[in-house]
Amino acid sequence: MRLKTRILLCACTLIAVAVTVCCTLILGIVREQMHSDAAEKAEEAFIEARRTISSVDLDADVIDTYMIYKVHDVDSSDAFTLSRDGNYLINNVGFSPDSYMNINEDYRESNQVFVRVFGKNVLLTGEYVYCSNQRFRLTMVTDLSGIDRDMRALAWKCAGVGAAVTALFFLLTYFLLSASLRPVKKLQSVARRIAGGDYHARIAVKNRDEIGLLAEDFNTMADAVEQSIAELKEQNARKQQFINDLSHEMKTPVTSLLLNSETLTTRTVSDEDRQRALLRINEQAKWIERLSQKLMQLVMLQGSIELVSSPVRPLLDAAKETVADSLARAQISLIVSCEDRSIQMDFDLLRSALVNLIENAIKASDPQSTIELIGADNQIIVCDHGRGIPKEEIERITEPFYMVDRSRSKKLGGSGLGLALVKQIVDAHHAELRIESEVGVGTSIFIRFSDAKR
Amino acid sequence: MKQKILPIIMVAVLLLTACQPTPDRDIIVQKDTERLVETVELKNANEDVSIEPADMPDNPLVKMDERYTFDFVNDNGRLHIHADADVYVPETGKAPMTRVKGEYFTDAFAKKMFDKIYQGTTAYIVSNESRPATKAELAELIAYYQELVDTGRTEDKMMDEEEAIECINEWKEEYKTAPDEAEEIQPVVSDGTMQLMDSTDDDPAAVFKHVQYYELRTSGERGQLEIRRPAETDLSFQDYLDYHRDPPDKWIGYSESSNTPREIDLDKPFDSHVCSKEDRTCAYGQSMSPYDATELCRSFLAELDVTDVEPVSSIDAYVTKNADGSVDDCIYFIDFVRTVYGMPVAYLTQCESYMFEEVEIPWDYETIRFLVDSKGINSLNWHYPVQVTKLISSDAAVLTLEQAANIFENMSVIIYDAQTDHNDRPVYIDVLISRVELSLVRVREKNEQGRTGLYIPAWVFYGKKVSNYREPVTQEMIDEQMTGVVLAVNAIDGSIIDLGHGY
Repeated sequence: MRLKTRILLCACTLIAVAVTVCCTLILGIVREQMHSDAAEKAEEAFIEARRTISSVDLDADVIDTYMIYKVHDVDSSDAFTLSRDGNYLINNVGFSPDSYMNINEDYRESNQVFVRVFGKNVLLTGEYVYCSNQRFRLTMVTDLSGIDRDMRALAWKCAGVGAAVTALFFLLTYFLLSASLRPVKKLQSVARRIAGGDYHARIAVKNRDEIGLLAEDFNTMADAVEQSIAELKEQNARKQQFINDLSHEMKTPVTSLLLNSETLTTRTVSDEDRQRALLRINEQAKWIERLSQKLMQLVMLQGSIELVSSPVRPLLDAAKETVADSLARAQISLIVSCEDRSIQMDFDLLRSALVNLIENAIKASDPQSTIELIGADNQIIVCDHGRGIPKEEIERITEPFYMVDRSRSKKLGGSGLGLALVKQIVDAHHAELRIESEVGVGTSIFIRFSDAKR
Repeated sequence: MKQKILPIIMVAVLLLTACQPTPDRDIIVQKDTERLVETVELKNANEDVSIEPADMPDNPLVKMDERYTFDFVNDNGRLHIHADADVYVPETGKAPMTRVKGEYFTDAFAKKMFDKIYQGTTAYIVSNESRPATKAELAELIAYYQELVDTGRTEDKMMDEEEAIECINEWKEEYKTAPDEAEEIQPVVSDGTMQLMDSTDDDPAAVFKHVQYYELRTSGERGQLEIRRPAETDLSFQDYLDYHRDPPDKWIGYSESSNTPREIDLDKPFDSHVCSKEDRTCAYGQSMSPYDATELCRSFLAELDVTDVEPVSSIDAYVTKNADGSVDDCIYFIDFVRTVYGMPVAYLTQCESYMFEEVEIPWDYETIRFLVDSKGINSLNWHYPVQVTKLISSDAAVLTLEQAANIFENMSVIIYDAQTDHNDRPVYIDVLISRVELSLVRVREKNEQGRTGLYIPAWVFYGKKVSNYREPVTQEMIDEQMTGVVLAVNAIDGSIIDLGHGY
């Protein structure tokens, strides 16, 4: 059952019950009041009638005649009964009121009782009357059919009013609910649109009630979802690009491996050619190995790393030591300077990043040049005086497989993953990587840490 | 859960069903008249009420040897009760009791009456329709009423200016289609058949707005006859019969200023006398004796097969005189009462008519009144007839005269003593009892929506009540007289019969 229907039914049931209870109470009160008024009037009429019956001293033969005469002389005498010793002298009401009343003999006051006789409600007002030492029982019968009729009419009116109130309440509630739930419908509609792919859909928030706050939260959620979707799309795109690039990158060495191995297995070649082919195979295999190692590192860096506070100086020294052979071969010198600082780091990863940066600097620099490795403030800087990077390329060089000069990089054994790896490592350290470069002057790469301490 | 709820609901329903209101006790008590009937039936348990009574006596009442006397003066001297009366009892020595209902004038009776009155002459139906007014008549009316309006004298016609103007406008409208010449309505010959009439009263204050009745209303050279009875159970209407020998302009009317309804209004001097129905003399020079006049009426009724009637003992005679003092005519007031199984019904002339606001269903006492003059029966007014429906007892056990007298002596003092002080004004009352009679009185059944009741034996004390008091504003001494029934004692149970209410 829908929420609106449930609320409507519950509300209308409640109001109907409330109206019924109220009407019943009111009718009960009115009925009591009417009975009370009738009893009061009957009491007054009875007392008035009683007053006309004065006590006289008469013979026993005449006393009945006297009493009958006096009662007949009363207004509305039809309503009175008169009896003595259980025998009625006057009774035109059709039943025996004496049977319904136990008049208190100790008190000379009238008694009243409501009874139901032959399907009608009547009020009996009775009293013992004494005359010439004879005791008579005088009772007045008041027909309350009029009250019953009025009550029935009133009950019908109450029922009518109650039904009208319930119906009106139903209509008002229906419209109020419809108006109140309209924003929910809009919410529903927008949610469907978002689910259908329209991530820009939002709900206009018009007020600050619960629905309004829900709409605000929904919009916030929609923003987050849109952003996540965008990020996921971007990530997906990047992954796809990575895969595309990887495929592309892998294709060349694999092709070379296949070619050379096929040459060796299917043709008769000279020793020189064989040697060259094997050398080529070896180079390509090593290249693929380096590529896969870098890939592995990249994959490993997808998870979180544990950072430990460590001094910077040993890190720089370790990096220098790792690239010593490359420096010697390239005839390039590495100058290390470092302040006495500690940073939160993963020593091996950071060393790997610095090694990548230094090797890139080596590849970019001419022989007899210098590369600086500086640890100052909260930064580690790798600075070379090589050929530099065009400004328009700086933003992209940290993308996987991106190479400024592809042919030259490959020639030097580059895979295009080094700076991507450095970027990943820097990000994992919650640091910032910044590249400054000028073509023909050199390149400086800054790694800024946020928690460097002395 | 549902399995637990269902038994709980069933138990609750059963418990609620058990809480019903206590059924009515079957304690039915008969009404007063029925208890009266039961009392008589019990006492006369072995009586065979199917037997028709023997020959009716000529004089249903006979005078007892014993007279009734009583004297009383109250402490302050304002009440004086004196009785020195003949006592009359049924000649049969029996006191019957019957059930009665109020209806009598059947189609057959009306036809009989018609045939008797008109006897071979032609009588025409008197219609309520009147011929349309001519232009001249309307013009005269319009001019007259317009003058009343202009001079502010519309009250002469008991209407205000607005009503008068409304009438004028209606007549002006009627004038447009009014005939120039008077169009006579051709009279229709009557064959004595009663016609069903329908009457609607537009007066908002009318109690009965729609009345249906049967009517025979005729006029001929033998007089005017009007007989009506209600249709079905239309209780707004009571039977009546009016016959007048002379044309309407010569009808003898009753005096409006009179304290009694028996005083007539004549256009010449007259002497009034009270005669006995047995008087066979013409003591005042009249042409017909009271006895002859009475017998004339009796035979008239006998020809209609109405034999259960008896003239009342005293007759009022109005002897009119010529300018020279010689007797011109004598008009007799002769009232008849019904007799039931040999016992006459009480002569109730002084009972007031029921006012609608006092009694819901009007039921006046039956009156049969003849006016007889030297030419014969001048008029007959027979109103509110009663029909005996069942004999309860042909001889109910009744109180003795002594018992009834005891009740009278005690109750008359109580009743009339209370009347000697009216709004702190002293009233002097003289009650004179001239006749005591054991006769039948009609009592009606209380709270019944119809005209049904009983004829019960009652000791009826006839006489005169005279009240004297000083009118508070003018200080004039007012003298009120009532002649008729002073008190009626139910001879079965000793209760006082309130003739004003009929029970």
